[in-house]
Amino acid sequence: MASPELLLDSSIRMWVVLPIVFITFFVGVLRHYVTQLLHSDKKVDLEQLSDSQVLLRSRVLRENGKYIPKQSFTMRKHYFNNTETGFFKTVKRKVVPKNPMTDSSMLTDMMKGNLTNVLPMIVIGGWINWAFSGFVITKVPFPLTLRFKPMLQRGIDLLSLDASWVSSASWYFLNVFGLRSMYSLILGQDNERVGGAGDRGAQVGAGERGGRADVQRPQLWKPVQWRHPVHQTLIGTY
Amino acid sequence: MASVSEMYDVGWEEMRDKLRKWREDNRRNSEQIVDVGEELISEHASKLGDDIWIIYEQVMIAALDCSRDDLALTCLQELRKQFPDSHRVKRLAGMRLEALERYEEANKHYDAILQDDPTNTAARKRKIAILKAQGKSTEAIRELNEYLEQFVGDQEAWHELSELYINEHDYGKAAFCLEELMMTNPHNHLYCEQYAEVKYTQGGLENMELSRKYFAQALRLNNRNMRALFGLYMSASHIASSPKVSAKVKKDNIKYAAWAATQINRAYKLAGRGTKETKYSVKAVEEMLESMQITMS
Repeated sequence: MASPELLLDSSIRMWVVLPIVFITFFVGVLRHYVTQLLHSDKKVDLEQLSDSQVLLRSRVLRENGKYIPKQSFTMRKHYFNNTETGFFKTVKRKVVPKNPMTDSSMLTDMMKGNLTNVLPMIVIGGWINWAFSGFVITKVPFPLTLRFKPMLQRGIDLLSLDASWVSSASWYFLNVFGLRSMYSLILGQDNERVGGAGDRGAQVGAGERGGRADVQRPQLWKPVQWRHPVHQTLIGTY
Repeated sequence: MASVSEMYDVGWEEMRDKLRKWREDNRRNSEQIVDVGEELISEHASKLGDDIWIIYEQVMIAALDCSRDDLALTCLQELRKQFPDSHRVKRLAGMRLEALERYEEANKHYDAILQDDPTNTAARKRKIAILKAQGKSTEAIRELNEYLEQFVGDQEAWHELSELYINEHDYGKAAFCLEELMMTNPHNHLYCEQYAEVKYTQGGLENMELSRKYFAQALRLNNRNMRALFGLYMSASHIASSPKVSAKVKKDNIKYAAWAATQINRAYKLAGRGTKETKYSVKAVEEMLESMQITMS
């Protein structure tokens, strides 16, 4: 049964659809600048920095080892992997899983993330819901089941209306997630908008823990990968 | 004395762009920078906007090179006024003290920076440079080794260390440093060539073979590298004239040396094309090649 094609007033398009797009976009840009203002400089840990460089060096050795003589390559491989004196075997890092609740710098970072990302979304979502309620905005191009109805059609109590017709709040949320790639075009690469609603503190916490765990993990998997690197000297044929 | 803009008939924008180009290319033509920069600062400071701070830094370092302490002090004072707590400015102040040979004070300056921020690589490198300037190369080598233990990825530092080792005639360790550089920059023919030269200097049949291979690699990466061509010729002739090699290896190396010699001759002919001295220079090259040739036993 074909769904009844509704004809929407074109002023809806002019006065609702486009304004919501603009509002979302400008709020996003504003959010970016506010995050930049509130941004605090992270203090670089010397140990972490040097560890990351060592990891890079071992990776370079693995990839470009064929450019140096065989003896030099084995010498370096032993430096990293020797069972008694190898760098990756002997250097242990204390992995202290940082509790986000007690670590003050992470707590403030989390709060800032929450404030700048989640709060505006709630506020503006609510206002849009209030201001543009009672009518449908647009039709999503794919069919949706009935369970999506209460979510996407706030304020419209028509049982027979197809679930594909959505209200303004859902159009707003669609914009929020859809405009992210636009931000990277306009604001440059590392804009602060990429946080998003779902990540919150988990992102910040995972970043810290990930940095530490990364240094631990190589100790476990690197020796395995390294046991049999085939060293074909590239410089052997002249 | 005519100003730069009068002599070359350029406006202030061109001067500023020229300075930027020199900055990006990392060129050390200090006298030119001082001439252009001084005029830009004194006459057109207001038009430069925020560019002026980086120009101050660039001109200050050039002024230290040319012993223009007055200019350096002016730039430093302007920078200090604008950025009072900056480590970058403190490093410049330390460099000025180094230029005045007040090494103790400069050292204290850098120590203060490092206490505040232990990851500051610039201050550490300046301290090593002080040791080098004072001629204490063994200590400089030791400090540089410690620095590299923590910052393994710093290629500038590896290159500097290889130079220091070469000066101390410790060719084995210099080769190690150059290997690090070759690994991280496999397409750079200059590192290959330097490595080959170190191996050639070390001597011995194995090193000679390695050096010939790496000269060939450098040529493969850039076939206009004359030093590598000469190096190939020399190492190949050396191997060919060594008593310990088999006949086949000797023949191969004589072939390589002959090929290298023809390439050298051709390069010089091409270079001297159209000038009267061509005949003489080509003849000189041939004679030189013959004299360099190690006698075949």
